[in-house]
Amino acid sequence: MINLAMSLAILGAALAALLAGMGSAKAVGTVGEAANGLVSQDPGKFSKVLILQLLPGTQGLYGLLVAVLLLSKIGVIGGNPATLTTPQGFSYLLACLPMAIGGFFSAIHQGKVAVAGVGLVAKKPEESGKAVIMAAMVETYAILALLISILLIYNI
Amino acid sequence: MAKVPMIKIEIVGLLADAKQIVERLQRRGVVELENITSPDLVKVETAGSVAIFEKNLATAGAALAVLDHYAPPKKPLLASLYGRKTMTTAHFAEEKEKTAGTQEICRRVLELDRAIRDGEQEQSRLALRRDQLAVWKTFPYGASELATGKTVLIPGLLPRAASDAVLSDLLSESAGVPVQVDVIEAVKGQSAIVATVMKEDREAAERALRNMEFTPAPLPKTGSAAEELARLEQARAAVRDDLKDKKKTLKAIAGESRADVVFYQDFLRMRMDKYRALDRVAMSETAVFLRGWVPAKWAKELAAEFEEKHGAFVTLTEAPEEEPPVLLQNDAFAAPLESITEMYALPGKKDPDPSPIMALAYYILFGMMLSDAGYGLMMVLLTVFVLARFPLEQKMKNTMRLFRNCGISTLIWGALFGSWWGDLPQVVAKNFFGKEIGSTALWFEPIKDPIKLLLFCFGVGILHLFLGVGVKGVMLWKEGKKLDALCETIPIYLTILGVAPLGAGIFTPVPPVLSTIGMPVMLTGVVLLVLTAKRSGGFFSRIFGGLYALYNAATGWLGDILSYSRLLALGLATGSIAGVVNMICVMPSNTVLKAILLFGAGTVVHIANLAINLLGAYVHSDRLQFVELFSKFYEGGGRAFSPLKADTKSFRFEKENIYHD
Repeated sequence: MINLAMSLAILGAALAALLAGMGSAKAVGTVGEAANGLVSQDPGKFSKVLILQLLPGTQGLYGLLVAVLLLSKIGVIGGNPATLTTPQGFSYLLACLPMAIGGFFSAIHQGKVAVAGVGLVAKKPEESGKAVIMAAMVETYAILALLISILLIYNI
Repeated sequence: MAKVPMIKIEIVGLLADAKQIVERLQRRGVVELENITSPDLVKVETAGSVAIFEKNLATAGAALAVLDHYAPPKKPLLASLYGRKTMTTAHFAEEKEKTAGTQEICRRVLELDRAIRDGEQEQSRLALRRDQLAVWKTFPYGASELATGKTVLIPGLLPRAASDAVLSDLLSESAGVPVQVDVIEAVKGQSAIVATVMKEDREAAERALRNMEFTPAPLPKTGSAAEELARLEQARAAVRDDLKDKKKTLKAIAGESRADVVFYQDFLRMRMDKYRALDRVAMSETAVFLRGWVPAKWAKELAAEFEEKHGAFVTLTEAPEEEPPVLLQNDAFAAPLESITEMYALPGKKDPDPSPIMALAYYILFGMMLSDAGYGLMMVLLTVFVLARFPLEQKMKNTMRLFRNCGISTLIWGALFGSWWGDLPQVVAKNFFGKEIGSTALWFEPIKDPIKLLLFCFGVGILHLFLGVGVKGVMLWKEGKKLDALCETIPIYLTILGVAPLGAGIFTPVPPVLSTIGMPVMLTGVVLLVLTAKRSGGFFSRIFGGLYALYNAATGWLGDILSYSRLLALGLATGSIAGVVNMICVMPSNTVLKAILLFGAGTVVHIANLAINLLGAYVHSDRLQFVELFSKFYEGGGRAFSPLKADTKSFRFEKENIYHD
C-alpha cells in the first residue's frame, strides 16, 4: 500500500540513487574530459587513465545499492509492500541521506583528485598507481556513508 | 628473504680489456656501477658516441613509426601475456651483423616517406590547377594567343551571375568603350566570361573589369586548356603510380625488415647503456677501474669469472656505512606484494622489506572486501589458466599470482559468508527448480548480522595494526634498544586489548569476564603509556609527553581501527550488487526468458561488477597497508637497484644472465 510513509521511503531511495549518481556523473565526466586530452596525445595511456576515470564512478553504484536495498526492504521490489508508519518512512528517508549527500560531494572531490591524477600520469606514467591511491583516499568517506546508510536501513 | 644483501665490488683490469669487461658486466646484469672520480685517473669522453647512438635511435624510431603507419603490425590479442621472445648469444651475434644494413634500411624508409609526402603535395598542386582550368576546357586559346588582328579576348571570372547582354551593357558603360561579353559558364554566383574588345580599348576595359573584381583566367601560355588538362591528368596518374609503388615498397620493407629495425633499436639501446657505463669508470695509463654494488650472493662467482676471463683484480668489501641500492627478493607467497611495496616506497636503510610482512594480511583483507566465492573462483580459474598457458614475464607472473592468491582468499571468505555470485544458487533453485535452499554460508550471512561482521572487521584491523607495532618493536630490539622495543609495544597492546571488549560492549553483549578484565588491563596500559612514552627530560616533561602520547594514541588508533569498517562496506557492496543483478534478471515471469537474462546479460553485468569491485578491493587493500600498517613502522626512501644490463624491449637473452633465477 502506498501511503505517505511509503512515499517518504521511496523519496529516500530516489535521493540516494539520484544525488550519488549526479555526483558520479559529474566527476566521471570531468575526469573523462581530462583523460581524452591526454589520450589524444598518447593513446598508450588509455588503460591507466581509464582506471582513474572509473574511480569516482563507485558513488553512483553505492547510491544504486542503497536504493535497491531499501526498496527491497520495504517491499517495493519483490511485490510485497510493507506497512510503514510515518516516522518509519521518514527514518528511511533520513537513512538514505548519508549516501545521497556524502556520495554527491565525495564523488565530485574524488573527481578533482582524479583529474590531477591524469596530469600525474601524463608526466610520470610509471607513477600511475600513486594517482589511483590518492583518488581512493577520498572514496573512504563514500564508503563510510554507505556503511551507515546500510546499517540504518537494516536496523530501522 | 627480503632485501637482498649488497656488497661493494671493485674491478681493476687491463686498459685494453676495458670494453670487454663492461660488455661482460652488461651481459651478467648484476652490477650497478658507481661513478669513479679521482684526480689521478682519467675519464673517457663518451658523450659524443652517446649522442650518435641517440641520433641513430631517433632515426630507427622514426623509421619504425613510418613502417607502422603504412603496414600496421599485427599485434596478437593479449600481446602483453606473451612476454619477450628469447634469443641465444649466437643468434644475437648473427643479428648484430645485420645492423649496418638495417641502418641503411631506416634511412631508405625515411627517404621514401619524405618522397611520398612530396608526391602527395604535388598531387594536390596538380588537382588545384585542374580545378582552376576545368571551367575553361572549351576555350580554345592559350594566354599568348588572345589577340587577333583588331580585337583582344579577355577571359576570366566575375563574381556575379548575369546574362551576356546585361554584363556587356554594364561593362561598356563603366569602361566607356564597347565591350562584348560571352558567358561561358555561371556557377554559384560566379561567371566565367570572355570579354571581347577592340585592341585600342583594352586598357579601359581591363580597368573596368578590375573594378568589378575580375580574375583573369589562369590559361596555359599556348594551346588550349583542354590540352593542358590532359597533360595534368597524365602527370597526376604518373604521381599516383609512383606513390603506389613507393607505398608498396614500404610495405615490403615492413614485411622483411620490421623485426630487424626493432632489434636495431634494442641493439642501440644496449650500446648506449654500455657507453654511459664507460662514462662511470676511470682509467690510468694501463688499467681500468670499476666500482659498484653487486648482490652478495653472486659476488664471489662474479669475481672469479672476471679474474679468470680478464685476469682482473677484484676486491669485495662490505660497506656498512653506505646505503646500498635496494633489490627485493621473496618467496612465491610474498613476491607478488613487491609491486605494492614499490608503489609506496622501497625500504630505506633501516627498514625491513614490508612485502613478506604484509603478504598474509593483504590476501585476507582483499578477500574480505571482495568476499564473493563465485567471483573468487573466476579469478582463480582465469589466473591459473594464464599462468599455465602463457610464457609470462616475471612482472606479469607476479601480478597474476597476486590476483590468484587474492582470488583464493576471496573464494574462502565468500564461502564463509555464503555469497556465490551474490545469491545465484538460491535464485536458480527458486526460479528453475521451485526449491528454497536457504543460506549457503559456512559461517553467517553479513547482511543478517552486519554488527557481528563490523566487530570482526575491527578485530582483524586491530591484529593488522598490532602487526605493524610488533614489527617496530622487533626492529628496535634488533638495534639493541630493548627498553624502547618494550615501551613502544606493551603499553599500546594492553590499552587496545583492554578497550576492545568495552568498545564492543556498546554494540553487542560481551561475556562479563572480558569486560571485567578489560578495565584493569586498559588502565595498566594507559598508565604504562603515560609513564613510558617520553623517556627523557624532567618529571613534568615526561608526564606531559606521556599525556600527549596518550591523546595521540587515542585519536590515532580510533581512526585507524574505524578505517577497517570499509571491509564490511565493500564486502556488502559486492554481494548486494550481485544480488541486485540476479533479482533484475529473474523479474520476467517466463522461465526461458529468465534463463536467457540470467546466464546471458547477467554474466556480462557480473563481470563488470567483478571488475569494479576488484579495483575497489585492490586500492583499499593498498590503502590499509600504506596508511594504517606502514605508518606504524615503515619509512621507505630506498633507491632501486639498477644494474648495467641488456635493457631490451623486444627480446631477452636465453640463459645469458646466469645469475638470475
